[in-house]
Amino acid sequence: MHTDARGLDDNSLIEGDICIIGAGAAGISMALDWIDSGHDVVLLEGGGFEIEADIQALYHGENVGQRYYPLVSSRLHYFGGTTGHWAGFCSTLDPIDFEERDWIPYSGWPIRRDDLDPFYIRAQRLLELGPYEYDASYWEGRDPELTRLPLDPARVWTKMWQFSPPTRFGRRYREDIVGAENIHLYTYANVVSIEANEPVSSIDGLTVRCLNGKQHRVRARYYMLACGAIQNARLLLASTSRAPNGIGNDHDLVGRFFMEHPEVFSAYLVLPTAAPLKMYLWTPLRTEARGELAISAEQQSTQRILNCTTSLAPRPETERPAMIDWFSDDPAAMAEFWEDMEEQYGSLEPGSIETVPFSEYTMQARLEQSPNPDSRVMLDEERDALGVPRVKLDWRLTELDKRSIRRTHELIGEEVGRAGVGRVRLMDWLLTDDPMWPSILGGGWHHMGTTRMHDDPRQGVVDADCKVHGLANLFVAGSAVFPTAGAANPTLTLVAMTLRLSDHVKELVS
Amino acid sequence: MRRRRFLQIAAAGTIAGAAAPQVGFAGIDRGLDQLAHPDMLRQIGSHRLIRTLGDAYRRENPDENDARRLGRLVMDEAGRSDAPSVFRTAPDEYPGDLRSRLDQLVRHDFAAGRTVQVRGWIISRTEARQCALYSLLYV
Repeated sequence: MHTDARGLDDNSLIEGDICIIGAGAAGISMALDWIDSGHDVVLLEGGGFEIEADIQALYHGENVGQRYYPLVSSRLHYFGGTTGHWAGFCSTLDPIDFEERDWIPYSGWPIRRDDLDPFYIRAQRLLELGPYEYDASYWEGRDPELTRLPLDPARVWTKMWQFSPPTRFGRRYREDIVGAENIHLYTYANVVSIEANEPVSSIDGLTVRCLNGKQHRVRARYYMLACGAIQNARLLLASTSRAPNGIGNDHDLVGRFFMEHPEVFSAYLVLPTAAPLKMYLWTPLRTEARGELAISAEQQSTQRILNCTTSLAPRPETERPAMIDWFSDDPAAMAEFWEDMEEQYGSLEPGSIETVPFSEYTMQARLEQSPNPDSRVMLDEERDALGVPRVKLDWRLTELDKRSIRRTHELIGEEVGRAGVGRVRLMDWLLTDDPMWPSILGGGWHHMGTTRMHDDPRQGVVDADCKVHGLANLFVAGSAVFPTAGAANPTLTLVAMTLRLSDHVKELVS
Repeated sequence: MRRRRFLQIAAAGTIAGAAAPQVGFAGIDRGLDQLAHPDMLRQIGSHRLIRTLGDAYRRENPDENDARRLGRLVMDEAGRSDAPSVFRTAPDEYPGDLRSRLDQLVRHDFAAGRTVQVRGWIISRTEARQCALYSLLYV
């Protein structure tokens, strides 16, 4: 069922058994899981079914740290959320990503990687992926042209990604959500405040506002915050009617530990003879699976570095501009870019791919950012059109981050040399020991960590069940709960985590 | 000097991949010359790259800025008790075998972490010395 909140009588009361705040990948995944559950689910989405400038403008914020994409356009504020412009990259986190590593402060999850496996399988279906197979040998068996480089996997291995079509959740699942009798989707319903009871031990309700001035109240037994890591933190910090520092923020952790995946051109791989490295290539909308070079867990431990992978792309004659240099502050631009791509490639047979032999490949790192409490989302004094303080993002990186990228490519260079594959040349910016980052440094629009998981409320905002510490009925869904980022794109994992949370809440409600 | 040297080398056929030298010149030079052609770098780059890396390596390692010393270091790294002297007068007996041994040595360097970074290139220590030797022999 669907209701445009702007059309409700002012001060309407919206009620349900559970309330999901945000209809992006996490919110829609959870809502889908509750269809025909016998429980009433309220799904709140601040935007409509299309990107609208005045709604999107609510996401304006300021970057005050490391150069980053415009906050207004790196997230999409409409039904389907940021899946409206994602590229479809899916992979699992590695077991080491969940471990406490003594060389990485604040590392360690309260759950293990194999706790997530059943949920990864379910997430695969929602993301319209292939079989739950992330071993390179499986893909080599499917396509003889997919061949790993002959490297020692005890040092450098090939980590696999699969590609979602990409699933645009707003388009793909709109009918399922709107057609479900027990799912009540409210569009244009922006949560502006989360209200707790007097002892701040549970959530009493939410205040929702529309841009046309109407305001409504939402009440449920359980609340799922699923707006993305930046907006989740914003709402918690801005909800100060009973908690002066914000909901769930007794220990000054909400908004801290913001993590991205630093993505940056780092080196070149040069081969003695041109070769089509199909295993490692990606053509948008065409490739089903591809590998990236990754450092083994043993080497990460020995070298005391973060997890990091590097992808390969044929080196063009003219160097490509980095994405951070051309990424627009127009929120619709990337969505339109992908629509154009889909038209361009849509007529080709799925699975077919052109590969041309190249002798030089650009290596782009994707790094697990070191958890850093000073990398954070904060509130600004300026407020948006609904009266909610805007955000400031102070994205910060550490010496360990840069050193890990450098060491990763050094290790790959050593292994490539040992195997007689070719040679690696580091880019100039990696040759210095200073803490400076090149202007080409970007990220993947992966927002993580602002309400991190930890069993100890002094070290995390949510517990192992994603429940906000100290509050009986408030949970966080999505990548905001990640204590560490791994080197894999977060979408598959955030959907898996959301499905895990969904199962848990079903037990509570029952 | 450069043109004269090039002609000598061309006549002798000592550029890697060519036939064994037909016309000999100083035994010392010929032996060293056989060490001065890093095979992989030759394949992926040009002689200019090799010379550039060699120049850079010698600047960073001034104590190795000598052709004979470099040659000895390369052969010492091979760890062979019967390593042919770089001063032998008939190096054409071993060109193929030496090239194969050097290739193995280079790979062994990588496996053992005996690498250096020169102008961002991650190369074997042996390769770096080969480049340095080349840059001295082919001025």
